[in-house]
Amino acid sequence: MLKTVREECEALRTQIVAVKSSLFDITLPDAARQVKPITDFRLKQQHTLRGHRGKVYSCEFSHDNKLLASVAQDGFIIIWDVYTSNKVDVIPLANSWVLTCTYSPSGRFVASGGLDNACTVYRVNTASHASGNPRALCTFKGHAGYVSACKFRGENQVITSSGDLTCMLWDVNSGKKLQEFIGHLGAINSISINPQNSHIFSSSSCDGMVKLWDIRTNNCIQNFASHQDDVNSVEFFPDGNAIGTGSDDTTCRLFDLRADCQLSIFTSPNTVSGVSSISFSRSGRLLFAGYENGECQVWDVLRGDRVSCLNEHSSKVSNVTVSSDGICISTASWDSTIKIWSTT
Amino acid sequence: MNAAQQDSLNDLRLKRILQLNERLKEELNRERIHSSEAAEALINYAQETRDYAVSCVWGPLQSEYDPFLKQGTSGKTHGKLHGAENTGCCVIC
Repeated sequence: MLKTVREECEALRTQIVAVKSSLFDITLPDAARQVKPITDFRLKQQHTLRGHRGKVYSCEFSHDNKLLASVAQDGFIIIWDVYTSNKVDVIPLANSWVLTCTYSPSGRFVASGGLDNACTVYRVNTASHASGNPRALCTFKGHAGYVSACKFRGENQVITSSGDLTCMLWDVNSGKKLQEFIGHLGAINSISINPQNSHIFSSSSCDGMVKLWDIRTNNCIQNFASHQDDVNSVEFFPDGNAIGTGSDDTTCRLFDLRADCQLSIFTSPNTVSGVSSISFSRSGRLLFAGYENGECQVWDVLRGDRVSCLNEHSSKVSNVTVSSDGICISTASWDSTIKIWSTT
Repeated sequence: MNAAQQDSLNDLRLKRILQLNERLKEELNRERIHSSEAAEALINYAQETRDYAVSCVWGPLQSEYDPFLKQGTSGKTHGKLHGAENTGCCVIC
């Protein structure tokens, strides 16, 4: 019996490979040969945000794009005015070993997580703080490893990923765990919620895999296993039909969900550094990738060409984010600064 | 390991492989499109969505919509322009 089901398993694997290869008829760069290359690409460095006294690990624009929350291993979240570079708010953290932060859609809360295996939601509203309310709204405890990433799902839920190989969905009002997503075989580094369907999110892991999860069924619904090393960053393409990834294997890749395959790979012979963070421009035409060596390379997603390289940080670029209006790009670094770039 | 333990282990193995086979059947039956069709959809989306980072397609952001100009802080701190590396057009303004 055991032998029969094992043979059936192998036969199924062979059939899946055959079906996938029969449908893979072209890569994205080959399909986009007629698309004009990007010329005259320019970004203006608007501000260098100085204030953190430690490695900056993560930052995120507010949904109205006017503010930026950053978190560093000095134990503070700083809220910056993106356009003036002024500090708007400073939130002292219970634990200084933080790795990630995220804004709620309303801008009233930020959440952060790190090596204390917990994710804490803080109030940003300074008027509320002045009235004596504590900054921390709730703390999600349940992971058995560090919290590597967190994202608000609407105003009332947060998804976290962890070094304990799981992702979890939490309720902000009760502070309780709602669901757990188990399947990765390595620490999970990054998560991204589908911008067109918030029931679906993706996770990338040290097991080299990228997985898609459906919150409604609590199941893994798709796997991509092309990377050769830790996958440090994952982000949905803006139309929600593809995902981009960045890995320690020095490559970024684009996977299409409908074709269930890798459509493109972004690397060059000169790229020897691991990718720590990626972000798409508003249309998805550009992929910004932060590298361990302090560079931020800009890739033409359609043609696969490298368009530019922003080389202004003196240490690892830990986070790259594009504002939702597409006008601003932030690069956060272990050199303790954040740089704001604009397309103007 | 006695015979009972061996049987129990085999039952567990069988159960896991049967579960795996169910997942593989679902994966095999997944609806997929050709990569050419997926690529065309991505190309269309990227070319039809306004994106000021791709100024060669959409033109520069008009100054009245520039949030940095409104604040009067544009490039005050550094004012560096990073250009396409193939044209080498970095300038200090």
